[in-house]
Amino acid sequence: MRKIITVLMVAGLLLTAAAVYAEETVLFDYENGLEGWEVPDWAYEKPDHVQKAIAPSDMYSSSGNFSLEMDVDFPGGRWTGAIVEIMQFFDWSDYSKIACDIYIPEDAPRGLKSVIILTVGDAWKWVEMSRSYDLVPGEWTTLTADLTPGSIDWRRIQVDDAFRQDVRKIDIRVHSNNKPAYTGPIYIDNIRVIK
Amino acid sequence: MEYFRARVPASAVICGFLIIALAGCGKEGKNNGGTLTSVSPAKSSVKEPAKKETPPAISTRPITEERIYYDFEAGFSGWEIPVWAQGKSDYAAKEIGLSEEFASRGKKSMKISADFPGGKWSAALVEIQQYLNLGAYRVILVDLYVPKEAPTGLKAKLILTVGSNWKFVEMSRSVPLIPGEWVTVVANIEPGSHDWKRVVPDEEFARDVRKIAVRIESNQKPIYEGPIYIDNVRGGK
Repeated sequence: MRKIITVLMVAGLLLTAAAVYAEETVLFDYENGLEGWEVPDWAYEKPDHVQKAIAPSDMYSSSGNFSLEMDVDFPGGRWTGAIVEIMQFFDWSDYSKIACDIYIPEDAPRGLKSVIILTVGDAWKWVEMSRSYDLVPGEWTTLTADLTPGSIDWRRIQVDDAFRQDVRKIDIRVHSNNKPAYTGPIYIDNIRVIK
Repeated sequence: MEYFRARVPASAVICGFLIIALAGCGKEGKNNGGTLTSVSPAKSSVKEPAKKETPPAISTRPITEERIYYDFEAGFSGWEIPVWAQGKSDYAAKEIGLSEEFASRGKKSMKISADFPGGKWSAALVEIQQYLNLGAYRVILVDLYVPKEAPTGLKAKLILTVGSNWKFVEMSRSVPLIPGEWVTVVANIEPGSHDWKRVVPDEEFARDVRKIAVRIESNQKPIYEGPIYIDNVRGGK
């Protein structure tokens, strides 16, 4: 009898784990390199964009062993941003949220903020999140945004069903608005969509 | 003619001539403009200038539909005590947390731990920075609760930051909180609303909201150290 109960419990746990796992699809976790992510050319040319280089890193990760490291140089005293992106067509009709994890080292200052930006539809519309997330030094911060019709998580757009059906780029931007100044790495990992 | 004079007062005759004259003017104006629309000339000549000067009328229809923006069931969703308010002697919000003690909707609310010293103006302020288009809504609403042991005299208002110049717009009135009861603060965001201090909203006002803040004030009194609960921030139409 005990054996049967044990087997049932293990089976239950496995089924639960499988269900949870099935709820999320990891799009990029940088276990095999940059996986197509890059700094857009225009961002290298703009003086208010301060990312210096990107590379896979095994220093910190929220999923697997690697993350994307972006080296930045925020001077402070004005708005500056650091951005990475991937151009790829996605249909997320079956998903309700997009999420990613961002880490800044313990000795980084407070005050950096981050958003996800999507480029959507035939018009390649640039759509930023309507609010930014504060990055906390020494902690992974998870950014989450609702993709479903009526979502308020996106700026200057009425989100309808077509929004998530035709996503063409994902950008992640970290910014400093006057302060803080910070020179060092930022780690990005585990970009995923959630049912 | 004698019959006419006997039955119709002189003032009515004068009015009649005036009406005919005004109608004639309207006709001439329309003809000169080459307009082919069938709008009554008398109406257009009298009402058009008035339209430009009259502020938009506020609808008195009841609010029948609401959309919840923040109910604190799954976290703060970005609400915080702003950095500039932390450590200021006249700002009384010490910290915020999620609470299951009271809720006006669902199971949770945002709890502000406040400390109003009394004897001077002080306020507890929480806010969210998020770009929102509230253009589809006529009012913004928020529920506030102070425990029944709390003193009377605390007042609350909504503050919006709107537009590309980040204009800070306070409600023109504050709403008294009632110990032991949920109180709803309602502000009209329609064009022409009188609910905002030094600003009469235009069409753009609600379409480009960048921050929502809730401020609870004690003006000299009362003294109060304890929790204030905020829940169910929503738009209504």
